[in-house]
Amino acid sequence: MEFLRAIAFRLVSRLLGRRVTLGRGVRLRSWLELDGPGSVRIGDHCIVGSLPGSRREHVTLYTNDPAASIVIGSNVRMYGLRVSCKYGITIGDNCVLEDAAIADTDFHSIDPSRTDAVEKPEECRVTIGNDVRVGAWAVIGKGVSLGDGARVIAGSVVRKSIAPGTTVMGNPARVVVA
Amino acid sequence: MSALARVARKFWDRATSNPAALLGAVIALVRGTGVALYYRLTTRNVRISLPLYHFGGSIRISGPGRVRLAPNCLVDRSAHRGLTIATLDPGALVEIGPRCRLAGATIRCRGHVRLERNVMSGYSLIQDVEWVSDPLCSAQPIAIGEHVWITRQVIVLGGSRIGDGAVIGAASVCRADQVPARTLVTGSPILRPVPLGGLAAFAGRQGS
Repeated sequence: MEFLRAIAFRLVSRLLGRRVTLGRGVRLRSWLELDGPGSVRIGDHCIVGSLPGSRREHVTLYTNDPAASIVIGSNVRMYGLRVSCKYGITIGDNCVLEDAAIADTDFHSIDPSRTDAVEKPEECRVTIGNDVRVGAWAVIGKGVSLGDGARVIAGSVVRKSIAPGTTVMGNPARVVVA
Repeated sequence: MSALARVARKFWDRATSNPAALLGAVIALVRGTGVALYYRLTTRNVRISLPLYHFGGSIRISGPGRVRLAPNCLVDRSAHRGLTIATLDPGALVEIGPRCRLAGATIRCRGHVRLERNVMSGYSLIQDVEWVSDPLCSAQPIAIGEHVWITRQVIVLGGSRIGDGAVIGAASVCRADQVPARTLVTGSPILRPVPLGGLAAFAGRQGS
């Protein structure tokens, strides 16, 4: 089944002209949905899947801009992940992302006209370090940088960067001791 | 009038006053019986006691652990989900007490998750491990008392003990917390339990 999915994914990506590079040994346990003009690069030996009872049955990586790029390291396990990228999102190696939602833009402005948000791309990029774990139903907002070894407990809404090795929880996410 | 006649009369009054509800309940009962039969025939570790009222959503129970659903439970749809139970280990045990009403609940269990009777849950997540995909992650037991109301989008993580009659407000996250009985708690993490007045009457009730 995974083998068929991998073949189907390559066919569909080519047909739709998606700019995606998959590393070696990427396992598609559930469908990997890509959309948008940006580029996506997934490292070696990643696992794309979903958890039972997930909000999302598959992983979706959306790019909203031709210059947007999603770079995912190797050995990353993504379950029901939803990424919306307008500038750049980088995920390090050996991460575990369960049921999370990552966005590097606010999409719209607070102004009632709801035009595109006025943002500085350098400030909005999301960087997730190595060996980071993000729990179920967590949300990671724009401009957030998760240091190596950070842990985001289930249900957290992360709006500010997190130092390496810390564990955060809550809405808004605050550091907890273990 | 004998007791049986009185019960029959009460049933008749209810049935004739709202025939659509009665039909819905009968259909739910038939669906629930089908689900219970399916798991009894195809699995050895999942035991669903009848009657089960399955009003909506899908009931998906997977994994090698044991699952016990007591009689008179009700499953309905919330956020397009019915009841999802995933056990992550052959030694896992999920026990759901009688008369629970679960709509959109997801239970992921590696250790022991126990819901006492009359628990009402909306679209929520009950998970006794921090990271589901890590097989080395240890599970802490979850004990949810009777008559607890778990509202929508609540996450209950391992090590939580929720007292009888508590209400967990929407979008809360309960992580290894002890929620006192008959209080309202909200927040992520849970803060400031507020006692719910007038709930002493709940002690000892059979449930509606």
